[in-house]
Amino acid sequence: MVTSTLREAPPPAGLLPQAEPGSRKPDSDPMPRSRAPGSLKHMIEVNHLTKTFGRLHAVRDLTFRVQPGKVTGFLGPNGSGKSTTLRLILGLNTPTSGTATLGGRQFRDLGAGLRHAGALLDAGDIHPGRSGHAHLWALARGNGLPRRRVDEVLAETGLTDAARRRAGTYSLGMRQRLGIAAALLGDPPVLLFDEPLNGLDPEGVRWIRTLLRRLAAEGRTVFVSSHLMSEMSHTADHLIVLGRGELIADEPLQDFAARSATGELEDAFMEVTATSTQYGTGGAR
Amino acid sequence: MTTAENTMAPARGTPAGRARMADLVVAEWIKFRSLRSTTVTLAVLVAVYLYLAYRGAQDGYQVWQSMPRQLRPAFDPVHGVFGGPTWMLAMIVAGAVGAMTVTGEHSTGLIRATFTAAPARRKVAAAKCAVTAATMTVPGAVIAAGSYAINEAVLAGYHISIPVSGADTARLILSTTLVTPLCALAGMALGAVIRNTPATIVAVCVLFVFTPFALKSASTRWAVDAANAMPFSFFSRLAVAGNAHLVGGVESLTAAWTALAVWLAASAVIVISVMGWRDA
Repeated sequence: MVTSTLREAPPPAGLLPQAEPGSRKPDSDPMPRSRAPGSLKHMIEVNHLTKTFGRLHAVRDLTFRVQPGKVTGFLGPNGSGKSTTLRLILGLNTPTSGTATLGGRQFRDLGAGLRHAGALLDAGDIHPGRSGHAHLWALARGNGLPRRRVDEVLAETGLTDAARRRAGTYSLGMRQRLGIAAALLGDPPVLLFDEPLNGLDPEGVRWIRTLLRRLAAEGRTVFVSSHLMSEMSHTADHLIVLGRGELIADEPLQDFAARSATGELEDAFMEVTATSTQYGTGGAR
Repeated sequence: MTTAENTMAPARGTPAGRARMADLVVAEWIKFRSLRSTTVTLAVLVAVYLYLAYRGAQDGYQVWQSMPRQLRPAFDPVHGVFGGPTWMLAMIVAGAVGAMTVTGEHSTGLIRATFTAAPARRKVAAAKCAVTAATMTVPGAVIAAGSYAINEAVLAGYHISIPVSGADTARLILSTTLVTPLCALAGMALGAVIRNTPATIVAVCVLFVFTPFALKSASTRWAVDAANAMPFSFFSRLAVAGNAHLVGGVESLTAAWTALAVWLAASAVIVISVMGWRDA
């Protein structure tokens, strides 16, 4: 397959004793103190996660794990519940039932969030009146991170020259980079990216690909949603696939692609999600 | 392009445990001060009210002039400047500025970045309340002290000197100083519940301007009590000098101060609990 030279053998997983789902511990064990990125603590675990909005089942009884040291692709058609799942993992929404934990703990119980997980959920999640630098500095300062980190992530994402401009003047690609800069601020062991490639130019796409591979090679847990199948087939090691809020695949990328006669990820995705859609709508065409 | 080598150095700073309240407060302060529109709005507000104080003092002098001589000792020298309906504009502006510290995060989606960085939502909300209240006290204090000084200077220019007791002066300046932070916190509470900026600003106007008059014109006892518990009513009661003639309104200074304290506390409680509880 592709980019195999970049792949790291994933470390054995699931060896660490995990807290009971839903258990709440005081934030007395700040994990980054003993952390080398890639420590097995930093698995994302989703257990029987269900979220309903009124009568709409956004996600239903999801159970999966996202392992460190790999890029895990998160696929599914529009409205299949990917973004909701990411929000539930980050404690932005409260699950109707089930749990989502990072390193065995619910995200809302963690203190300095940026040091535990970095996330790009939507490139628009910034105030247009604030400069990129001020945006990042406020987030960093709230986590007790030094100002130096802001300059570092700005350099990493190529935004140094634009940092003092109001974010409202940024292009979509620049806002995307700013969101990624925010995710990297705390040097976190877990990274979640929702459609990070939106609006990026070819150089940006290549940069993201390299970045994701490197973050995983450093032993971090990298969970990334995308609709760009060709890009995913270049980048992901493992796939979690949703259809209509339910889990329809959790397997290595090669195995998933092999579901299609052509061996292409895109073909496999179309076939698998078409089936799930049929079941989900009770035979609607 | 990217400099991959230096970027992933472990972040060093304070130990990564709890989000410290002090850090969150500073973070909210960075957010507050980094929006130029807020600073401009508050600067304009101060300038407008210092001008209104000058005009109000002139009006006060006109009133004094038109008074029969024997009534002049009962003239309230601060009445032209403090406690009148002109303060409703300041209440609305302060309420809108406060509201936008909350609705600005919801409408842009910034709230998701905020809570991802600091999952302890109640602490974030408390820090936001503290920063907004403290910051809004500054324009309030400048307006209060400045208005008082301008009024005194104008009346002195007309050789009118009616002493105001120290207690009255202190109450006048303190209560006027608190108009802006109180209204900002109440605006934040509305913003936390409503989330939508235009709808919240309409609610601010209804709450601060429409409600006190609408309730006052009602005849039932509870409606009058409710009207007296509205910020405009108790500020009007507090911002008078001792020899003022009160017509109706809040029964006592104690009742007015109590209502003020309840509004401050209730607003903060609403902001903290609603932001802590609802899906972002």
